[in-house]
Amino acid sequence: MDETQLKVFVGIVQRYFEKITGKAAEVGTPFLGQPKELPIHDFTGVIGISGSQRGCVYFSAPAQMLKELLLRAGETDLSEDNFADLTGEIANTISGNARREFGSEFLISVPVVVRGSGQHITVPKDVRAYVIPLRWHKIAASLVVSVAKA
Amino acid sequence: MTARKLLIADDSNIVRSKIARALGQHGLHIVGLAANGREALELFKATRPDVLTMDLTMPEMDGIECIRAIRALDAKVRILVVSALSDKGTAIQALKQGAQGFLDKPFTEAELSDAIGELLEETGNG
Amino acid sequence: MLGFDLGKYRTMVVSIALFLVLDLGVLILNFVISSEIDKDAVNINLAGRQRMLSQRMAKTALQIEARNAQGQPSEKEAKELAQAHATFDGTLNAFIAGGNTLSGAGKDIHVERIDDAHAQAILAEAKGLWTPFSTAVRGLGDKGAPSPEAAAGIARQAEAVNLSLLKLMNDLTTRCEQLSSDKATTLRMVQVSGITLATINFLIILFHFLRHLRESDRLVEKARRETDNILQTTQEGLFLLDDKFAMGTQHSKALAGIIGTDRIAEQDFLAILRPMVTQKTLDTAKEYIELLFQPEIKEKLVASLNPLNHVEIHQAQGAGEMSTRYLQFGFNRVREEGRITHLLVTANDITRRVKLEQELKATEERAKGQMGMLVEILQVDPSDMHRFLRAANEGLGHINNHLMEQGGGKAEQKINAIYRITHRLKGDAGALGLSMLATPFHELEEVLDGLRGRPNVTGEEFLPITVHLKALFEQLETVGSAVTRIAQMRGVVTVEPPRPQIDPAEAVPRVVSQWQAFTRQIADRQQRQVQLSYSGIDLQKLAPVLQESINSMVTQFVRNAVVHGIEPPAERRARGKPESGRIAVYVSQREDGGADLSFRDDGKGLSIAKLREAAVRAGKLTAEEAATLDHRRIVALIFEPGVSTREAVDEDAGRGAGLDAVKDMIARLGGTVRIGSTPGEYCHFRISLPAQPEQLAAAA
Repeated sequence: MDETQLKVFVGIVQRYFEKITGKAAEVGTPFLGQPKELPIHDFTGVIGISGSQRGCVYFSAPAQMLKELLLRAGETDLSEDNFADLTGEIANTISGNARREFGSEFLISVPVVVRGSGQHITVPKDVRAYVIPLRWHKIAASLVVSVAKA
Repeated sequence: MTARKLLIADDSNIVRSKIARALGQHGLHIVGLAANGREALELFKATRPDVLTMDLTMPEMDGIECIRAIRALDAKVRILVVSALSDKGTAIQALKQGAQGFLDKPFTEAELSDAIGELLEETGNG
Repeated sequence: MLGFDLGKYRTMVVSIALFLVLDLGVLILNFVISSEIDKDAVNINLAGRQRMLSQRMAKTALQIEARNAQGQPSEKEAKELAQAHATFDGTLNAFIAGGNTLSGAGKDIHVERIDDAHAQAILAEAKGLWTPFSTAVRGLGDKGAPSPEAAAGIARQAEAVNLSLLKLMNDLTTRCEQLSSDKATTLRMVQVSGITLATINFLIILFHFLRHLRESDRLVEKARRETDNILQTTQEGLFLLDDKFAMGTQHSKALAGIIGTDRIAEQDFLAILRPMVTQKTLDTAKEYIELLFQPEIKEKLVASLNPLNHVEIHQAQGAGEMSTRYLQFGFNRVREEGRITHLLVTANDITRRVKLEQELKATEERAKGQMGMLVEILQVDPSDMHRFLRAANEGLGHINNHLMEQGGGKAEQKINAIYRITHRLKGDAGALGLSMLATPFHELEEVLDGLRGRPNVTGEEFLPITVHLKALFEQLETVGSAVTRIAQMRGVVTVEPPRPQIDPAEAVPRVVSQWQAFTRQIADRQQRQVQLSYSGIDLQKLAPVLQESINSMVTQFVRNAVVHGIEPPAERRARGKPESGRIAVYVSQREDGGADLSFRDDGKGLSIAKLREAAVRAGKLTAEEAATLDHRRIVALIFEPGVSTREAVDEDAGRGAGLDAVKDMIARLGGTVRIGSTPGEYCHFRISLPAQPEQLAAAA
């Protein structure tokens, strides 16, 4: 996965935040994380990648951020299910846009939402993942890209 | 039985002589060597061979066009496409135009010899 | 052709023919006998008429006589007599020898001789009676009315034969009826037996063919079961495909799993393929299948064009994961009477094979790329190499730590810090002639150079740094594994001991020669042979507190290694090790000013079992606890005060003090320790000490 491809993922998330809230998410300095040390917040939307590269991309956010997002979208139902729905929607946006951007380069699955920060997300073993820290209204979330050549 | 006449069409000199060497031993009488489709067509008209080996990517007139033209002249000639398999679709077009077999490049003399043997076998006996 | 075709049906044809012959036979016999019976009926009528005629003649004769006596004319009666006589005579003769006579309707009919001895006997007797009477009647001639004498004579004769003739003709009638009745009986018998035979024949046909039908049904059933068994058990996906791309009604059980659908029978194969392959592959596959149905195309010579020989398909699977499988479809023509009716398609899941091939290919490619790398690595001194790799790994780790630290406003500092590390590592790699590492470090340096001095660098702009960092980590791993392999090869190939790790030109640092002397001293006392070698930085570069600590730790480790680790020379020989044991000490300076110490001996390593015993002996653990504790915790026991695996106490070891002191020291300095050991091979301590406050204070 090269820089351009990573930028596509980052761009998608930024645009999403901008569109919904009028304020893009701030991107922190991306770093590398070992599979066992990857950040996982309360809600995580995972999309699988297959084809010439394998692995997954996930967006993980704390409940607080999701709550703020919902409030800003004029939503009053602040249930956990709604948080999960929103996470799924963000992951869906990533998946849909990425599919358009990358087309035949690799295959992108339908997202799956995982609840709870203690959850385990299957990422390729022995691969350092890109962790892209996101900040929005001082709340931190993460975009993680963990892929290996097939 | 008179020896069958063979025409070889390939833009590579090396490939032409390789085919000629292998099939000369096979008992075929080589009546012509063509370096492109146009030459192949002219030689075909002049020599009326029984068997043809045909490259697909050649200058002047490509193999598919050449096969089509030859097939219009002669329904019986046996044509073996000998080409590098970069695109299966192109090779299949060549077969649709009237070639009966395909041999992937690079090939060994034994493979070529087997392919010609197969090509010359009468059809329809199951 | 016909004869061949008849084969299987011959019995049936013969049976049916026989049936027809029987029927025809019965019909003919029926016809013949019926016509006989018809004739008999005529005979019966004629015989009856004879009876009547005999009476009429007698009556007429008497009438003639009476009329003559009364002088009345008798021509009419005479004529009647003559007529009756002629009819009787003709009929009698026809019965005896065959001939014509008049029918009841006055027509001339042919009557055959009655072919029966009894009837003929009757007729012969009648003829005997008849002939004189007949002669007499004929004697009357056509002379008109007979004389009264003649009439009386005829009358007397008629009286004489009348009853006998009547009786005979009666008998004849009866006989004829008898004959007719016999024939009717025969006819019935013929009909009954004909029907019986036909029935038998029918039954034979029925049973024969039922048996055959059942037999062939059984064979068909058996064949079907066998086919079923094959289709149920084969691991290949098998099905037939027709020229309209429709799949056959039967397929192997495995097929559903391979192509991932149960709806197979009579489905459109292309529709099943569509979601698996690209449009182009689908089009090519369609054309390829069409080609295979063309008889002039040589099946074997187009096999290499099969676009479905290797189909990669992707399927979503659970938590966002995708699985990739590889399928292979093979096509073989199925011919019936020389015509290509179907293609037998074999489908296989070749994922395992493809994965293996890919691994093999990747390995080969790595091997190729590694050749150049190996040449570079071979030119570098192994210890320099290790040192560099370690430093580079640490350096990259530090870069990542800098990146990981989030928070605004510090971008410039971050970039500068990363730049420094990168620049240094690039220089190191260059100095060692490792261009495969110097080049990527250089590339990263250029990225950083582009960002340096720019205000407000965004997080996103750090992305290329992270991408380079990842590549560098991977490249280091590749080099590291190559170095390890070279080391293994050297270990196998080289017999002589490795080169001294310290340049002989350089004087051995004082502290190192102290360690070596200490080692010799203990080794002598313990009857061991041990050599200590040192590589790494000049210890004097370190902060004094670290120098002291390291010196003290090494001393403890040497003691521990010689006493517990290095085996006696004889034992080492027996184990295939050089008699002289080796201790390798390595110290490096950390980026933060701290230090890393590595201490390794090639003795017998840690014995988990002995440590357990020692811990129990020292009262640290109960036997039960010792048995259940995991290895890592057991290994940690060597740092516990009072735990020594040595049974006897002497001045070098046995009191269990020493390593616990090391542990305390490390703890005090805020450092960490890691132990690696392989029984029978080595024991390796790695201690990492951070920069010390007094250093920092000094630096400030």
